[in-house]
Amino acid sequence: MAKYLAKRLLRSVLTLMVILSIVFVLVRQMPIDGYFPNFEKLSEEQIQNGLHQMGMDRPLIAQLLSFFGDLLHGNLGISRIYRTNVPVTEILGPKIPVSVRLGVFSLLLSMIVGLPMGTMMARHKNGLFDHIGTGFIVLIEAVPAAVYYLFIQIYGTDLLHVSMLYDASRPETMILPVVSMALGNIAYYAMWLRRYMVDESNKDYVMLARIKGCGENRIMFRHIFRNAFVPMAQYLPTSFLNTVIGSIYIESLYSIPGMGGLLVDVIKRQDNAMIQAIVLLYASVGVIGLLLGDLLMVFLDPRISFSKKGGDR
Amino acid sequence: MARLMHAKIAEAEAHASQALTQDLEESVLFSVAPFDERAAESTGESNYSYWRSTLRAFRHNRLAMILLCLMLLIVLFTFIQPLLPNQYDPNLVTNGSNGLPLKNKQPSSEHLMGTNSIGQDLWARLWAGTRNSLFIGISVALIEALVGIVMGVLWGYVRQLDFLFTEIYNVLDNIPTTIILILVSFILKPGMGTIIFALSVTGWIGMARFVRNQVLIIRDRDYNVASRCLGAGTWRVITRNLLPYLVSVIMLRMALSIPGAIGSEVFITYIGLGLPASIPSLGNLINEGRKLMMSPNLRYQLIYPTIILSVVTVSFYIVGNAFSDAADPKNHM
Amino acid sequence: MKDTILSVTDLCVDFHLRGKTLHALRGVSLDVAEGESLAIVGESGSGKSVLNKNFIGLLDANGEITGGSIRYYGMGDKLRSTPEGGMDEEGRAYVELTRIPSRNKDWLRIRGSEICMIPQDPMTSLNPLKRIGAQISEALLLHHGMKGQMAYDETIRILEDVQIDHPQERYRQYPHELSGGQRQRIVIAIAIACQPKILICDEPTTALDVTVQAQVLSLLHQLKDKYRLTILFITHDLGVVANIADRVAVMYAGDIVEVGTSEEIFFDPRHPYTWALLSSLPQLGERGEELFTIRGTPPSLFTEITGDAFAMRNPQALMIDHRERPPYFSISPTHRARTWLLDPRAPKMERPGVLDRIKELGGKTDESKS
Repeated sequence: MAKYLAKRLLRSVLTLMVILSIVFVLVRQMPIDGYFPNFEKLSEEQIQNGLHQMGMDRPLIAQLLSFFGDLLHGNLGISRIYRTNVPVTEILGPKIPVSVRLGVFSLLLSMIVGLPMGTMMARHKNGLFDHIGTGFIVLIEAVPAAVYYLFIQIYGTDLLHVSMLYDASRPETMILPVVSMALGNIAYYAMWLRRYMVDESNKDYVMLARIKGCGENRIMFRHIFRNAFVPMAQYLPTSFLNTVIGSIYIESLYSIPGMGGLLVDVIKRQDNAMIQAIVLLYASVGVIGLLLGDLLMVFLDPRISFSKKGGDR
Repeated sequence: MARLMHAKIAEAEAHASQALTQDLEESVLFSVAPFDERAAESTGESNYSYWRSTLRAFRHNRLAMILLCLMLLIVLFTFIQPLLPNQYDPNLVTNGSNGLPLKNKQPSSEHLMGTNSIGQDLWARLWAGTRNSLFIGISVALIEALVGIVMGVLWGYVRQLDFLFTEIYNVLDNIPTTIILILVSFILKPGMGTIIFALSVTGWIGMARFVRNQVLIIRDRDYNVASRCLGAGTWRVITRNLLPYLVSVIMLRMALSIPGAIGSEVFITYIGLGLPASIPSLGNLINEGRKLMMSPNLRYQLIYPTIILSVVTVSFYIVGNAFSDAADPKNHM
Repeated sequence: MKDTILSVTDLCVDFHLRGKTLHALRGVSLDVAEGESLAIVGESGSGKSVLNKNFIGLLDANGEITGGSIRYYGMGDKLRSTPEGGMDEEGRAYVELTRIPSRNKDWLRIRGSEICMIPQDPMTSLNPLKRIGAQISEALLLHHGMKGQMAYDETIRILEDVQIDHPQERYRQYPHELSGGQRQRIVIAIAIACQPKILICDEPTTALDVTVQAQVLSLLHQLKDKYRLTILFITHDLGVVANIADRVAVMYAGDIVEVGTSEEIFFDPRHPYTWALLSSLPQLGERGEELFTIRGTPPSLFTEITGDAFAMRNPQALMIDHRERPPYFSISPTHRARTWLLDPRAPKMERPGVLDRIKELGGKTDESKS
């Protein structure tokens, strides 16, 4: 198992490096004028000086190597524009807990609502509850989040009599962002759990359980639920981490000082070090999520072992 | 009990001999009938047609049928609308009698949906925007499908390519799509092409992965092994055996990536990297409406585009799902 | 003959498929005696599985019982007060199984503890995420309220009964760690743990290697005596039948065309379909001779069948076979068949000569049976 984990980790690090390199190259394609607030007035010499200061006059490969060198020493670079000459880690540090707090709340909410919803829909397939649930899922899945978030903000603030913007000192302003973030996950969990449970309920082992004399509730909760949960488990950590790291859109809608809103901001302001750091964070989260997902699968399903993937199903 | 059954049988026997058909002589009835080999074979049930059953199952879904019609009507109307009499140019700023632009005018018979904050006709902009958004959505779906299917089939079917593709996938899948979307939109000049490109760049890999998995699942199924044993080439197996099976799932994915692309366009516009205002789109309209949402009497500028967008996305979603269900042979009963 | 435990009369079952109606069972009548082993033989689609699913209330959702009755006598007065309870002409209490709605709780008192079934494919019939022990002891908990050490001891004892090696180890294993034959034994163990009166074995050996088939069959034979089971074998393999069944019912196109003791069916078959079925036994083939096959395909059950369902494929069918459905004719108190050939007015038909070879093989079958 240790050997497997070591191999997996090494692969993950390699994947991360490739991702960072691709983004690094992409970032270097951004127009040069974006780096200077008063580009038109600058002479060619001044521009070259500026680029030199940023280390951007060197060949791409050299820039990339020194970036990785710094990274190895835990140095993520220094913000040049977002907050001039402040280390990136210092800027990100206080923002992470804000996003994590919102994310954890919304995740709890989506689990508490989504999983029982999916189970009940499968249990009473084609019943009234199933139809209502399906209607909800279709709306959330089909209508772009960018649109229904707006309406939750407009009418939710009216309804709850809270401010449209987030205020750390007033917990009630967290309700709408948390609910908005949770809606997508609720629909997602409910939809897949229902689908997997319906799939499972047609399998032979469920038939045997029924023949054995198990009641429908026992079959649902003792036999089907865990089997249906296994395929979901693989994606759970990723969805968890993505939620925790914050929603770009929601954070900027409610002016939440978290990670999410930051990304758009720093890309538009061409703060390379910040972009790099945030991409690193997001990509690590993705890679770690996959790793955790696989570990969770091994934990839940005795057929899957570390040495050989798959096993016979 | 056995005795009872025996008695019942005896009774039945008696009954049967009484009720024997009267129109034929007993001697004829109890003679050997001519044996028809073809009749013996033809008794099986075999008038099943895949596409006919698919269509029937789809037509059975009334909600999907209604939405399909609605969808077609909307698409058609986006083309018809400019040809109707008394329509405004979507980018024309209408001036009032005092020579100033008619800003934020409430819906009236003159302007069916009112005007926006700079005095353009919202009705005209809405339909132009729907047309552009649909164009973006459909283009992205087609590109994704085309690239994704070709790559996916190769990935799944040609074993030598598996390693390479899997590595590419692992990398691409781990870069958050939002980052690519934002970076690409930022680096390239804003415009229709940029948006379509940015959305397709991240989308095809999902389709490819999906097709690959389906191909893997059915590649080794017995009927394909049988085809190969009979000497069918790789290409023939792909086009004849694999693709038809994949049609339902591919159609579903395409139907879902259209609302997805339309939604992403709204998002890109929101962060300020979308289409210029001179090219109306649902994203543009919703974003313009959003800026006015604080004043309740101007919310119509947000609500109208939202309604159209919701109808379009929900229709694609439901029709796609219904078609995929109908195309699944398991549901042909 | 012993007491009847299950009595099926004129059972009709329809399926609704693609807007059409399929007549899966067309008036099936059958009595099952307590403690016997009865084989129900027929090709796929003949309705043998559908028939048996009715006994445990697990007919598919699009299936519907349109007539007839199934009386189960094994429960005594236990369900007397329910709408499905009743008393027959001889004063025996029964439960009318066709009257219990499919999702009714009363089924939970019948399924498993009264009538249990071994499903066809042992490879997929076990819950992949539960340990073997837990799956067996769940039945003990459900039907006998056994828990803890008591349930563990009983589970180990049952595992020994189904002759599995290292029961203590197996208890802690997962299904994927076992072979097909072992999994079949586990499935049998689960059924045994329920302690049913009737055990339905749905093609119990089809999914297994030939070498394991005989072992599983002899195991079932031993368990039948030990647990005083009534066994219903569903099979298309007459070879299985010859060795273990007391009686055989031959099904064709949703109907039982002939039923009798094993000896009667093998040595004195009367229905042309039984003849054809027996003639196509590979064991009867002679080197160099072509094997007998039945021509044509079974009739579509979507259409109403007039006359004898087998007439179309029977080169010797009578005119009346195409027009009138034959009634049952009894040959002996235990033997009856649905064919016009048994009518006194019918011409005398010789059964295929190849069937005489069964008598030559017969010595062997009898040996292996005892």
